[in-house]
Amino acid sequence: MQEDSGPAIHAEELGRSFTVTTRKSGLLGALRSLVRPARESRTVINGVSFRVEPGELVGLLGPNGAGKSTLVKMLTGIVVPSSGAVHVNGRVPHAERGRLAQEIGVVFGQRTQLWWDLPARESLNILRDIYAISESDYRRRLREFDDVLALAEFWNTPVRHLSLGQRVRCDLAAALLHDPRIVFLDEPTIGMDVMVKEQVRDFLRYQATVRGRTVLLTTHDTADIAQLCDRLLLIDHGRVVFDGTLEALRAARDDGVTVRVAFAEPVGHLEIDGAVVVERTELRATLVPAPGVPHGRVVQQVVSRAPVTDLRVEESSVEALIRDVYRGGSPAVARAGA
Amino acid sequence: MAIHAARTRRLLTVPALSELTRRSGVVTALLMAVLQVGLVCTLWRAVYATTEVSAGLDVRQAVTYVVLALLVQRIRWGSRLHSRESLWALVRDGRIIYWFLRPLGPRRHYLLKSLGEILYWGTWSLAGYGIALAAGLISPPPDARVAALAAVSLLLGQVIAHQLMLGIDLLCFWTTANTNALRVYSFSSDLLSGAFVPLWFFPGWFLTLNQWLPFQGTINVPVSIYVGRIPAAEALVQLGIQTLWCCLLYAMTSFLWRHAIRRVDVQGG
Repeated sequence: MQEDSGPAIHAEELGRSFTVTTRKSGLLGALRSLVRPARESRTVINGVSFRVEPGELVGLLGPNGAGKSTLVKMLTGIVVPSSGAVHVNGRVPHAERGRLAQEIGVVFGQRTQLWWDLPARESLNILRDIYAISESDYRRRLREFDDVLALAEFWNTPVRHLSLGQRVRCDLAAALLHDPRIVFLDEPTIGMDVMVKEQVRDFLRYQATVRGRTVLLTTHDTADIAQLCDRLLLIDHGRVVFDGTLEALRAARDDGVTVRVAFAEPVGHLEIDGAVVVERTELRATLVPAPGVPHGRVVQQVVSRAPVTDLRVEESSVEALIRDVYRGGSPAVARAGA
Repeated sequence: MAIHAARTRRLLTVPALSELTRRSGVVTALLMAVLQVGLVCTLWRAVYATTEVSAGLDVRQAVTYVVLALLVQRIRWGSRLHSRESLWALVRDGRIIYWFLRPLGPRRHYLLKSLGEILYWGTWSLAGYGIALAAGLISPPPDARVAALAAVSLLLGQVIAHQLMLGIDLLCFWTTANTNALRVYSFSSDLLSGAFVPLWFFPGWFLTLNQWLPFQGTINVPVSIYVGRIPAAEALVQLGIQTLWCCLLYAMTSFLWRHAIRRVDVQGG
């Protein structure tokens, strides 16, 4: 049962370390490792704190090895935290796995939960019985999933014969079949073509906005982020480096815009108050507003200096914004509105 | 209760459904069973060509033993197949996490999968038993009491075999791949359980050593009760030993499960 007043997900100073065996290269190193393997402790998640409110669609982002999958495994109860506390739907995930299973849905995009040799529909039938879903609910939900994901075209095909896109669509249906309030999706659009990606995004948007599910999505696809996520949670080296909306990320990166201008006639020395000219030819210039200076003020000054034939205000790409955060180009930002 | 029954029923059918999707697999399994039974019958008749009684058994008892041993061994044939749904494949691919994310948990998942395999392959063995009996290849049990004792012993033997296999399977939580351990286990259990050759043909030291191991409880004991090698009066002692092994192995696999569940977190990103 979901707690009406509490957050859907609440992590506080969450940490996780693993002991890993390190192996030396070469034959001698391999022999040494065989006889006396060297072990070292690695911190994968380091003091992560955040809250996700019911109905939010949050993008969990980070470079490879940042700890995203481990964090999802901790939130779903597979991994036990080394330190800190975590509650999902008011439950401690690793201590209440069985109960939580009815309240969460999980898709690990690269790993299917469907039975390989059976038709996808048969797998869904099995999951219906595992989650004790009534026949009427089952039929209704399948219809709903089929409407958006067009599953009926291939759901009688054995899973081993499905394409990646078809298989992940079936996996999405499998994860939502029992009507979970919270959904964890680990790279659900990986390896999909643009059409299927769009289909999956429509599906996820519908599940969040119409069905009111809380969705935590890990992805490397910036289009997923731009089109789907209300909020971004960026982690790197096991720490939260940004928590807020895409707009907050732009604002934190000094508006995140570039002003490109084409003049009707050559302009001499160009100096705009509150902006840096980063590129310059006789008739063209590219300017970046200084921290805290709205780009509108820069545009006003530019058009007042000389006749302009073209002027564009371009937002930095999501990719560039996120890359800057990973490179430490933007300060960690407290969650906007929190 | 009804929920659990539906869930159990459904998961029990999964191995059969998976096997039946591969026609070639079904035909191969059938051919292999017929071939194995035909060859062991020929072999043991040849062994008895120059003697009427060997190690206290006549040719009919010996052939009955080896055919039954084969059929009992094939009850757990599913655990020997390199299926994508086997525990080691799930651990290697990381798909094992879904067993932890469902309401019934990994232990129950494994149990129902294993029982489903036993039901599917056991049905084949039962059919083979009926055919072998009808064809006169093997003898029926001498009386109902022996049949009942052999049936109980077979059941306990399956519990032992399940626990042993589970122990080997759980190793893959530490080693990721357990194919070598599986090979060693398959050979050892076939040898020590009497699936290859009736145990009484082995030297004394081997039999003494084997008494301290659980393997003979999986095939040799139930089949020996059936053919009369173990008299009904002694059978109860053997059932007691089998029960003891069931308890000991259950304690061992419970211990391994508890630790394996903590290990699942290190399997990949």
